[in-house]
Amino acid sequence: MKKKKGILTIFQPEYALFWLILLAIIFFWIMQPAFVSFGNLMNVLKNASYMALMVLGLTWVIATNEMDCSFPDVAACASMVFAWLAFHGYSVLVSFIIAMLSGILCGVLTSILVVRFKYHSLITTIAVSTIAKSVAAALYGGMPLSVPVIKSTGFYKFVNSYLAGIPVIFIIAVAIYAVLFIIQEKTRYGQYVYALGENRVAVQEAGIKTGKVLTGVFITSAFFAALSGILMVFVVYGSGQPKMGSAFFLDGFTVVFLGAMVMKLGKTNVVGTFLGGIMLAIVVNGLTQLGASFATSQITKGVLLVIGIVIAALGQRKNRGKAGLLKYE
Amino acid sequence: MEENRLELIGINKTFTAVKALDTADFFLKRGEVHGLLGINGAGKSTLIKIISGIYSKDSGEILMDGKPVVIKNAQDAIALGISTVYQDPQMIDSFTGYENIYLGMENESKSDISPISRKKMRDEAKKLLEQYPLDIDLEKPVSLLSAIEREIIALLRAIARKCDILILDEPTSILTEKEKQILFDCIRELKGKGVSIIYITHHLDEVSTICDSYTIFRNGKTVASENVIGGKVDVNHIAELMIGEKLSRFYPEKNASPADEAFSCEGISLSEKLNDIGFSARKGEILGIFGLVGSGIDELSKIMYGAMDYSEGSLKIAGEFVKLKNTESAIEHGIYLVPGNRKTEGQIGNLSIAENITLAKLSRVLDKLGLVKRSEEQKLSGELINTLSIATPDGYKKVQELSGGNQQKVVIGKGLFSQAKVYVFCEPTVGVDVGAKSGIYEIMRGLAKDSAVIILSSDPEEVLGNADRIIVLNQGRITLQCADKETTLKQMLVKATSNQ
Amino acid sequence: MRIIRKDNKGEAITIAAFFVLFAAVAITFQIFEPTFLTWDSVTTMLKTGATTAIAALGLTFVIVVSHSDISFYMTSCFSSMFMAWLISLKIHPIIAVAGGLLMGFIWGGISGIAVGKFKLPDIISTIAIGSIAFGAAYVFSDGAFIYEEFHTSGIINLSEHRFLGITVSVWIMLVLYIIAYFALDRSKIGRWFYSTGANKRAAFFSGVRVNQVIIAAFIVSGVLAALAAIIYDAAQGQGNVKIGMNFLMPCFSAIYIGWSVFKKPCVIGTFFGALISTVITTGFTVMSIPYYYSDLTMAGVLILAIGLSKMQFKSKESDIAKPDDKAEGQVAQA
Repeated sequence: MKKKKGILTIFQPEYALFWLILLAIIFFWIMQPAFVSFGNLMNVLKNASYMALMVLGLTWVIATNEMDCSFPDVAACASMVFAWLAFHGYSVLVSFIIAMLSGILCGVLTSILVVRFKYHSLITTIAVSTIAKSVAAALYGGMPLSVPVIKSTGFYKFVNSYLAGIPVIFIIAVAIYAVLFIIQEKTRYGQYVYALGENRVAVQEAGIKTGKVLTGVFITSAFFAALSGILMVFVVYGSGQPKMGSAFFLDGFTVVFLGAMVMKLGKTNVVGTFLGGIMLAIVVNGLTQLGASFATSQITKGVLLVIGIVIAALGQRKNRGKAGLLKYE
Repeated sequence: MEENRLELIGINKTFTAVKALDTADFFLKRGEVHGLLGINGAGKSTLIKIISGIYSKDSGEILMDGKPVVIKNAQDAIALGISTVYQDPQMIDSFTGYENIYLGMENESKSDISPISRKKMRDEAKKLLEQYPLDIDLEKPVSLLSAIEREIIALLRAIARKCDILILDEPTSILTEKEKQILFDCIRELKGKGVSIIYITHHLDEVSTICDSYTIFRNGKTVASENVIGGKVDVNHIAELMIGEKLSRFYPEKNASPADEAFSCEGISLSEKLNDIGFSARKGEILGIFGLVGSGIDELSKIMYGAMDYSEGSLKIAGEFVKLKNTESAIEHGIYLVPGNRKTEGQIGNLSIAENITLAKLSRVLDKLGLVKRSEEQKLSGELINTLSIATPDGYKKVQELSGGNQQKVVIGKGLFSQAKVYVFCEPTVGVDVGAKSGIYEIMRGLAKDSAVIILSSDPEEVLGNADRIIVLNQGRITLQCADKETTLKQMLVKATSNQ
Repeated sequence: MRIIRKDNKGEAITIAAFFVLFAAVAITFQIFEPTFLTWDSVTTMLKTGATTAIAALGLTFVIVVSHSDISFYMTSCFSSMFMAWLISLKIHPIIAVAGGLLMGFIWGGISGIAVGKFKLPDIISTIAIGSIAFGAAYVFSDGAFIYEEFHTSGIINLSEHRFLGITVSVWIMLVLYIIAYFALDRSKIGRWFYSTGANKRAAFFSGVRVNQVIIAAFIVSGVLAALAAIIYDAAQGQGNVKIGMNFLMPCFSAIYIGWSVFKKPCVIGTFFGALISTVITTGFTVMSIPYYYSDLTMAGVLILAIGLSKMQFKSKESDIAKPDDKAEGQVAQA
C-alpha cells in the first residue's frame, strides 16, 4: 500500500472523524445559528468531558478484544455511594475515596472472574453491572439522592468554574487524557494492550503476562467509570443517580467506536475516544437545540455506532487476501 | 571449534500410543549450520520442541557445552540462549518491525508503566539489522512487509534475545528463490558470529547450499549424521536414508480394477497456490497425490469438495461438469472429504460419535416429521463403528475422548454414512499411531472397490504404498503423473522438492 | 432426555441437587409467605414467568451457535410498540400480533446478516442494532403508553384468557418449548445448530450451511423476544416502550443456570433456568422485598451458574485431560 502524500492525506479514513465533526458543526450551524455561540460550544465541551472520561477505560478493554458492559452502572453505583455518604455527613474527600473504591471493587470482581476463572467478559460484566445497579438502587430505595451540601464545598465551585472561559472540568479531562495517552503510547503497558488485542499467541510467546495486562484494563475501566459518575454529581445532577446506567450505555459504545476511526485505524484508542466524545456531545447538543425527539437522537447515535463498527472492521480486514478462504468465511 | 554446543543423547518421547522419538541422538557444533532432515512424522518437530521447551522428554540427556541442563519450559530455553523461528512467525501485525523485535523486552525496567523509548529501540534494531545484507524499513507495520522481511524480523527478534542456538523450522517454505538467497546470506552472517543453527528443511538441494552437516531422522530414530563435504551432497543418498530401503509399513494388497471415470478436474488454478491442475480419478482405484506441506495439496482437496473457490478450471463428476456451490452440494453429488486438520476441520469433538457420523447425511435417519430416529441412528452408526472397528463401548461417547486413530475413523465414518462415490483423503494419518494407520489404509482400499479414492499426503511412503496411480505436486504444479510401478519413493521426493 | 437417561453419576447428582435447591427456594418463600404456594399464586407466577421464558428460549438458539445477542431485548420494544400501534389503528389483533412478530423477524434478520454474513463482531453490532430499534420504538407515540383499543380489541386474551385454569400465555410458552425441544434436540436443524456452535469449521466440512444457521438463530431470537414483549403488553393492557428492558439479565441467567446443570445450553435447561429465576423474583415480590435485592440475588446466581457450567466432573476429568496429550502427538507429527 502506497501512502498518499501531502494534502491528500486528509481524505484518508483516519481523518473521517474530523470530517464528521466538521460536517456536524456546519449542519447544526445552518439549522440553528445559535449553535455556534461560544457559550454553547463550551457547554458541548463540558458534556463531552465527563462522557469521554466514563469510557476512557472501556477504550482499552475493547482494544484488548474483551468486553465491558458494566461501565454505566459502575458510574451510577459510584455516584450513589458518594451521594449517600455525603448525605450522611461524611466529608467530600472521604465520600469521594470510598465511592471510588466501590467502583474499583467492581473492576476487581470482573477481572478476577475473567482472568482467574476464565469467564466470558460479556456475561461477567452483565452480571457485575446488575450488581452495581442493584447496590446503587438499594442505597436510597431506587430514587435519586440529592446532596445540596456539596454545593458549599470548594471542590464543587472548582469543577464548575471556568478558566479563561473554558470549563475546568474539560481541562481536567484533557489532563487525564494526556496522561493516559502517554501511557498508551510511551509505556510497555500501552504496547501490550494493543499487542494483546491483536495476537494473544505472539504475546504469550514473547513471555508477557497477559493476565496482568487484562486485570489492569478492567480495573482502569471501572476506575474511570466511577470517577465520571462522581464528577457528574457535581457538574450535572447535584444528586446521586441510580438509574443513569441506561442513559449512557449506547453513548459509551458510540464514543469508543467512533474513536476507532482515528489514529490507529480499526482500533479503539484514547485520542479517538476523546474526539468521539466531542462528536457525540455535538450531536446530542445540536439535536436537543433542534428539538429532536428521543427516537431521532437514539437512531442517530446507533447509526454513528454502526459507522464506527464498519470502519473498524474494514480497517482490520484491510490486509486479508481473498484467495484461499473457505466459502463460509 | 570442534566442541559440541548442544548434545542430545538417547532421547525418548511417546505420545499416548505414538512413539515420536526412539533413543534419538543429536549433536550440534558451535557455529555450524546443521540440517535436520526427515519425512513427516520422522520426529524432527518433536525433537526441536523438546529443545525449545515446549515438550518435555520422557528420558535421555541434554548437554550444553558438555554440562547437563534441564529445559522445563519455553522460558528455560530462552534463558539458555535457545530460540526458535517457526515457518510463519507470530507477530503483532500493526506494530512496526522494531516494536516486534523488542516485544516483551522494550526496556530493562520491571514496571510496566515505565517509559519506553521508541527511538532507542529503533536505533538498536537498526544497528542489529545493519549487520545483515538486507534493508528493511523497520518503521513500517509488519503486515506490510514481505514474507522474507518478516522472517528476518523474526530472526532479529531471536538475536535481540541474545540467543546463540537458533532453530529455523522450514524457513524457506513460503519464500521465493531470490528471497531464499537473502535468507542464506543472513544465516552465513549469523554463523560467522558463532551462532549455532539447526536448520529444518524438506528441500534437499538447500542442504548443500547452506548446511555444514546434517542429521537424518526416520521413524523417531537418528539414522545418519554426516558432514557436507566440498559444498556437495548426494541428494539420492539422502532421500534413500530418509525413506529407508523399502516401504517400512504394512500396506494392503493392491487390487485395482479401474472402471469408469468418477471424478476429474481440468486446469484448476488458484492465484499463486495452484496452477493448471488436471487429473481424473476412476472408480475402483486409488489415486495418490504427493506434495510437501505448502505445495497446494490442502487447497486442492478443499476445492474438490466445494469448500474453496478457485480462479480457473472446471470439475467433472461422472463425466458431467458440476459447479459445487458449497460442501452440502458436494455431499449431494457424492463427494466426501476427510479434511487435512482433523481437530479443527474433521471432528466435532464436543458431540457424540453417532452425532458426528450422521451429520453429513441426516436425511437417512429422519422420520416423517423430520425428527432424528435415535434407535435408527444408533443402529446405523453402530454398524459403521463395527465396520471401522472404532474402539468405543457405544456411539454416545464424545469424539474428543477417543484416540487420534479412532477420531479419524469417525471422520471417515461420516463419509461412509453419506454414501459418497468419491472419497478424498487429505493427510489421513497425521497424528495416528502405526497400528491404526494400517487400519485406515485397509478401509481406504476397501472403499476403492466401489468408489473412487483420492489420497493427498505429504508422506511419500503413504502415497506410494496405497495408490495405484501417482501425482506429484510441487509448488502448485504437477511435476509427475504416472502409475505406481513406474516410480520410486526417491523419484517422488526429488520431483516434489527440487526446483527444475 | 438422553442426557438424564445416560449413566452419568455426576450429572445425575447435579440435577438432583438442582431440584433440592429449587425445593429449598420454594419452601423458604413458603415459610415467610404462606400464600406463596397456593394455586392462584403459582398460576400468576407462571404467567409472569412465561414472558421471560419465551425470550430466553429465543436467546438459547443464539447461545447454542456460540454467539451473543444483545439486541433482542431492545428490538422487542420496537416489535411490541408496532403491535400496539396496529391495535390502536383498529386492526385485527391477529394481524397486529403477526405484524409485531414480523418486526422481530426483520430486526433479528438484520443482526443475523451483520454477524453471519458480514462477520461483524457480534456483541457490539447487536448493541448498535438493538439501540437503533429501541430508538425507533419511540416513533409510534414518542414514548407514551399506547392503550387505545387495547381492551376492546381482545388482545388482552393473549395473556388473560384461561384454558384449563392456566392462562393462554403459559400454554403458548409450553407449546413453544415443546416445539423448540424437538427442533433443537431431535431434528436435523438442531444438529446443525449444535455442530455450528461446537466447531464452525468442522460443521462446514460436514455440509452444514453455517452462515445460514447463524442468521436463523438471530431471527429466532428476534421473533421470540417480540412475542414475549407482545404477551407482556397484553398482560399490562397497554403498549409500553420499555417493555423489554428488563429481559436481558433474566434471560442470560436462565440459559446459564440451565447450562450449568445440563453441561450445554439447551431447551430443557433454559426452561428450568427460567423457572428458578421466576420463582426467586416472584418470591421477592410476594415478600415485598424491593426489586433491586432480587436483581442482586440473580446476578449472584448467574455468576455461580457460569462457574458451575465451566466445572468438569471429577470422574470425567481423567478422560478429558488426555485428548490434549493426543493433540500434542498430532502436532508433533505434523
